[in-house]
Amino acid sequence: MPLPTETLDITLLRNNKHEFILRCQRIIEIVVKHYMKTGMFAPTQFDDTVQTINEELINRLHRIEQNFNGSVLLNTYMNVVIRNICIRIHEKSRTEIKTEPLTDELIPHDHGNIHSLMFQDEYRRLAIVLKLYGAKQSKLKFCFKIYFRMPVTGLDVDSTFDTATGVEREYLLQHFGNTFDDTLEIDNFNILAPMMNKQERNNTTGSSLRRWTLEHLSRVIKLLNGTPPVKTHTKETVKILFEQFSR
Amino acid sequence: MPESIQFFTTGHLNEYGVSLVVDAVRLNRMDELPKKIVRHIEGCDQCKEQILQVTDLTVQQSLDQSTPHPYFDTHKKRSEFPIMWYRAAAVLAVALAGGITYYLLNQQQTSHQIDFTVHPPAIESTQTRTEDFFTATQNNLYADNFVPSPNLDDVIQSDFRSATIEVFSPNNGEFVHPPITFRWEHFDRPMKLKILTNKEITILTSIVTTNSFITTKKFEPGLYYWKLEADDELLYIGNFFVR
Ligand SMILES: [Zn+2]
Repeated sequence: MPLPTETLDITLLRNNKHEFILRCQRIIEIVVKHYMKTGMFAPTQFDDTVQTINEELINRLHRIEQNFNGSVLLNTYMNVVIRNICIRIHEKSRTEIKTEPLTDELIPHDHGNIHSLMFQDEYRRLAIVLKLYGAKQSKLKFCFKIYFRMPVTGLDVDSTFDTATGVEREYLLQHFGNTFDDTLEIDNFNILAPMMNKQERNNTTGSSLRRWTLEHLSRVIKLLNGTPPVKTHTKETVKILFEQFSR
Repeated sequence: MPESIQFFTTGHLNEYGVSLVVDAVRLNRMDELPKKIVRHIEGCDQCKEQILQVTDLTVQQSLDQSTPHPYFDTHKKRSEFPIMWYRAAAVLAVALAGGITYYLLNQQQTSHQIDFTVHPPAIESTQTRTEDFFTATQNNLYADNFVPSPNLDDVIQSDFRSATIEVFSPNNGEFVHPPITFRWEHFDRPMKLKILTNKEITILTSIVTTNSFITTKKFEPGLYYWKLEADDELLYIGNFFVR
């Protein structure tokens, strides 16, 4: 359930900076608490961090007012600004303070099954990461399915290979439409490569398509884990999350 | 909002660029992002990570959807509107010229038939009539200049969504007066700018190395197409009207 925040607008920023800063407090709190959970700040640093963010924000408000180009929601923009201030504060103090990620006892969280909440959260994050692959999204999903040995559907084929003929479509479904646990990984990619080549007007081998898949899988894992890593996703956890896409 | 919105600084999404993608993710409007942004994040993990982090923050917050989005509902609509508009304008131009021809033919035939139409003022000199006829013939010729090229239109329709370069002016379907200014976002290679008539005849080719081009060329009224190409790859195609 999203927490209510006040809607920020540029008129308020122009006319009443004091009120604007007040309305930013909820966002600041959410951002700092979020980074406390990741271990970026210790719980004891909460007040100090909020204070530092406010000071920097007050110094920047005039510039934000002058430069805000009005192309995005001001709330989102302030989240980006406050997040960037947090990162800078953290980088400045990184050498001085060592913090540990908060344990569950220290973070007050919602009732209900924490695991299910975490799962939903991570599923949502994976969905966003895949979306950010833009035009490559369907290729990536298809290759992940082959790598994770998950049966593909006609819809998967259609959304990835719009140049495929009926025969080629059948060919892919014949190989990957049902469980294919007993085939060699490289053979699977060798079957896939010519189709991908036709689609992308490319000339790549099964083994380099497999490398491409593994490379992007590790990049997705790295993104989900964050920099510095605050989560511990592996191929296995991504596979579990990814299976949800096929449900 | 300024006409040219900068979403990039030093080769990566700036705070506006990140905010716009986060808005798109939250509003489920990823398809409406500028193609340049989509292509950049597709290959840039650094920007992906920032977007993911800010989304992690904003999903915890309520989203006010009561007002139109400043980019997706306002800016983008403004630049998309002319695509529909220019077709209507072309049809209107043809219809007008057709109307003028019909009117002239009618003028010549009225003496032989019962006239139910409303005539223009009765007193007019032969000279005015000749001028009218000349203008009408000209207009008729010009009307032909307004007929959209199906080939180029197809490219616009299909390529518009995947344009590799963002263009700030002229907007598609815009009526312009020479000198015409063409402006686009920064591109790191020299490009060829071409202007074509609606009959697909290239009337101007110029190598451009900056992000704008001004031409003082005299254009006959009509519909024109313009392209940006680099290494024979079509980066952009758009059109404009000259009155
Ligand atoms: Zn980037």
